[in-house]
Amino acid sequence: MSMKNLIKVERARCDMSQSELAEAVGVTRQTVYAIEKSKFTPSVLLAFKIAKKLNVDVNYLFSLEDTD
Amino acid sequence: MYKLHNSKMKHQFLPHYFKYIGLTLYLIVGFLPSTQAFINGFYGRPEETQTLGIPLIFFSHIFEILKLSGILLYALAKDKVFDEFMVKIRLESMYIVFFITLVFIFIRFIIDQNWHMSASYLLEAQVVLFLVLNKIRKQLITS
Repeated sequence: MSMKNLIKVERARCDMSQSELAEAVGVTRQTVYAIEKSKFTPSVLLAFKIAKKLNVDVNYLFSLEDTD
Repeated sequence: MYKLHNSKMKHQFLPHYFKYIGLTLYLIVGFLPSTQAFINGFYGRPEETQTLGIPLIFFSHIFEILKLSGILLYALAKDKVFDEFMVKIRLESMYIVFFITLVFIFIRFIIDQNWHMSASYLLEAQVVLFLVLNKIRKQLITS
């Protein structure tokens, strides 16, 4: 099981760069990049913050992906 | 829970400006004995000769302590923006350094049973390795 996300899509919809989103939620640009590429799974709090900033539901933004 | 996590982080690492203090201390203290050794070597003088007007005692124990303090301050200082991803990379780097140290000591002990290493050298090597690994891992993950 892994987690996929739609941050890149929603970020593009909001016309936001990685740096802008990172600054808005109080993390580094590298962190946003790592989350987008599924190299890092954010904490629940950070996931909610990102979802709130992008005006979407957290369940829509992050979902489980069956890799088996 | 979040507040607890945050307060822990606040106590765990020093403010960002300690990076500059630590690095300055390490470079100055590390540079002076090297300069003295270079001057002595250049003129073919004995190793113990004073050329910078600094008593020799400062080149040994006290310098060692200051150098280690400098590098420790640097290693323990926060990055400019410090978040959970940076904490993760930092902890993983510490974990890797710990195992590299164990493997190194184990192998050295197999090769030579009477081998000894100064604690300060080991500490310095660990901190330098940690900093290098931390930097490389940050670059690798985000590239």
